[in-house]
Amino acid sequence: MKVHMANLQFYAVLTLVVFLSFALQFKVVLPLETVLLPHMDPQHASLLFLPHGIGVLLAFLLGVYALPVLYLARLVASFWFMGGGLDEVMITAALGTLACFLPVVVLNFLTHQPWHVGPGMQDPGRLSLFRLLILLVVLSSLLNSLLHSYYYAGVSGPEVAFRYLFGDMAGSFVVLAIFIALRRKIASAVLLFHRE
Amino acid sequence: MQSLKFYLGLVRLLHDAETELGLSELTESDRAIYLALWELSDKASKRITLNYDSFIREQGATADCSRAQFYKTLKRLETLKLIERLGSPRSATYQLLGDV
Repeated sequence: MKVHMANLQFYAVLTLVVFLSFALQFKVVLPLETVLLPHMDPQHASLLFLPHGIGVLLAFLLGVYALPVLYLARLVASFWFMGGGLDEVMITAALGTLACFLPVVVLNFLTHQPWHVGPGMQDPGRLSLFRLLILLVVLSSLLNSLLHSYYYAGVSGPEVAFRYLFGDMAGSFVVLAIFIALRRKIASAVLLFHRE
Repeated sequence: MQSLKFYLGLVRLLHDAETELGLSELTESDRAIYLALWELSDKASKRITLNYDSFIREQGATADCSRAQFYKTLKRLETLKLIERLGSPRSATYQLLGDV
C-alpha cells in the first residue's frame, strides 16, 4: 500500500512537471515569441515548444506509464491556458500524447523489447540510448505535426505542419540540452536521494 | 521503487548522451576510483584518507587499477575540482567537493 502511494505521488509530481512546462511555454516562451517573431497562426503553434521535449523524455523512460501523466497534464494545461471547446481540448491532448507514445512502440520493436516499456530503461543493444532518443524526437515530432495539421486542416494553412514540426524538434533539443548541461547536478541529486 | 528507477534511468541516459557528444572528462577507470572514494568516505565530513595500498585492500579482487593510474586519477579529480587534497602535498587525505 505504501509503495502504491509512493508511486502515485511520483506520477503526480511528473504530471505537475509537465503542467509547469506548459505554464512556462504559454506565459514566457509564447509571449516572447509573439513579440520577436510575429505570426498569424490561430493555433499558436510555437517554434520552440518545450512541453513536447518533456513529453518525449517521459515516454522514453516510462513507456506506457507516461500516457496518463501526459494526457492529464495536457488536458488541464489546454483548458487552463488555451481555452477552446471540450471536444477540441480532449482531442488535441490525445493527439499530443499519442504522438509521444506511438513512436516508443516502434523503438521497442526495433530493439526487441515488449511494446509498452520505456526504451530508456532497457538494454538498447548495439544502439546507444542517446541515438534512440534522437530518433524518438524526430518520429514523434513528425507524427505530432501530421496529426495536428490534419485536425486543423480546415482552419490553418499547410504551413502549420512545418511550424509544429520545427517547434517540437527545437523544443525537444532545448530540453535535452538543458538536461545535459545540468547532468552533474542531476546525478548528485540522485546520489543524495539514494544515500538518504 | 518506480521513482528511483526513473531517476537512475535518466542519469544513465544523460551519461550516454555525454559519451556520445564527447563531453565526458572522466574515463571508466576514473569513474570507478571516484565511486570508490565516495563509498569509502566519511558520510558526514565527506573526507577520506586513502593511498594506493589501502585502496587495493578495501576494493580487494574487484580493483583493477595500477598504482600509476590511481594517482593519475586523483590528480585529474583534483583538476576537475571533484576532490581537494587536505594538508601537505604528500597528504593522502581528500575532501570530496560538491553535493555528493
